[in-house]
Amino acid sequence: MNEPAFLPLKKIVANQLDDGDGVLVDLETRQYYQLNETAMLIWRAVENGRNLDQIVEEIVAAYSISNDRALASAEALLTKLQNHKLIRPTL
Amino acid sequence: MQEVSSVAGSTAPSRGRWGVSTSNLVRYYAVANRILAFQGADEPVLNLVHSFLSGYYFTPTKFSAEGPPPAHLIDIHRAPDSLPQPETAGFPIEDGYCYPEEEQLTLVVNGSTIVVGPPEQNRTDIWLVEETAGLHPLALNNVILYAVQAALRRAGLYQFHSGCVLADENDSGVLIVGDSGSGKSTLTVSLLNEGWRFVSDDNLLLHDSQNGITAWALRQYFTFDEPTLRACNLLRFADVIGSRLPSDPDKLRFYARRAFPESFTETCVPGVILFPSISTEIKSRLESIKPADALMRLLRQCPWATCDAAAAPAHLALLAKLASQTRSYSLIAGSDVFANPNSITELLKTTNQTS
Repeated sequence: MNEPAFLPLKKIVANQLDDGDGVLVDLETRQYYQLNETAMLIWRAVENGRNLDQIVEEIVAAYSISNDRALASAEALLTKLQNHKLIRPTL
Repeated sequence: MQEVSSVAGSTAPSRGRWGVSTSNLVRYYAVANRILAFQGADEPVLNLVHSFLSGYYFTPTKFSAEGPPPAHLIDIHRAPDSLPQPETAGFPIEDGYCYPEEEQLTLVVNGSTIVVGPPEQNRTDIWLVEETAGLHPLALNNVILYAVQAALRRAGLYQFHSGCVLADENDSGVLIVGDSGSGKSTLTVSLLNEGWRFVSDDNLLLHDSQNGITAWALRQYFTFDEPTLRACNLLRFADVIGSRLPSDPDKLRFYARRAFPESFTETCVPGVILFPSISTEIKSRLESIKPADALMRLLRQCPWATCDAAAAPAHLALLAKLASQTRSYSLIAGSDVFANPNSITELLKTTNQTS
């Protein structure tokens, strides 16, 4: 399965800083969120249409951590992003 | 801010909705290497605009067919007594409401309506109603201010509330960023007394240029309450202290460029950002802030970066670039700001901004 699991909502503007951290702005609620480097990697992966397996692969490659730990990190952030209505599931 | 829903039952205003004919009366103003055009229903309207802009670094200019076209047109109409409200959901802003709709913004301010068109139109329309002028002396100014701010954003110039100073013989600027009462003007003028140069105490335009994010002077005067004028030893410049601000009668205009004629510089590239807070400590100190934290603090000062959809991506990118090109610090300002202003200069040397 190469289908993305989530898509970012159009109302979100993202910007990544040179050190990897970033900020998301929700133009509808006018709220903004600070993301650390790992969270920005996951956000960029969602923007690029990656599915969960691919996101985990990118985290493992970037930080040399176990699959299980990368999966836990990805799932936790994706849940938060969904709760804040910054992404939506594709199904 | 609390979200609200608009109630009145009509569509958002659009140009020509009330059959207003287009006027040939146009004036041009240059600001930060851009030209804005103002088209008015009549001379009094354009004179009102001129009066408003005279407090800022907007220079009347002539339009040349050979030169660059105006970056944005503000077209000002006289409207019927009351205007229909937009149907879309809006949110409160000072003196009115904002109704975003895709890349268009409709602002209802003191009864008048401003429609900021999508970027490809490069135009903003104002429908002035008579009742706006009758509200209070500031009502019309507020309408023009909102329209000008929006036009500037569409032209790539972002208004920013910040002091901006430069160490002598150093072209890199220091931004002093904070809410009202955080000590921006006090710190700015303390550094002026120490021989620093200045761009502004509180009102800048930011622009993404080839040299990086550039700060331009926007407002022509500083503002102080009388205790601060006294504490900063500025009462000696009695002839450059102007009238009180109608919007904040405790504050007086202070024409710093006339008090410190050799110290003004129109523009600079910031290298340091200070976020001051006034403390009861004796000695001031700095705490380093990482770029993402600085960006969050900058966003707090820029509410339009989170709601003007057409300008938001570029606005956010500009603030991110500013956070990356600078070193940022919390300045916990102690009593030495007044007692020994030189200590602030010494402290800022640790940011490598002074020689």
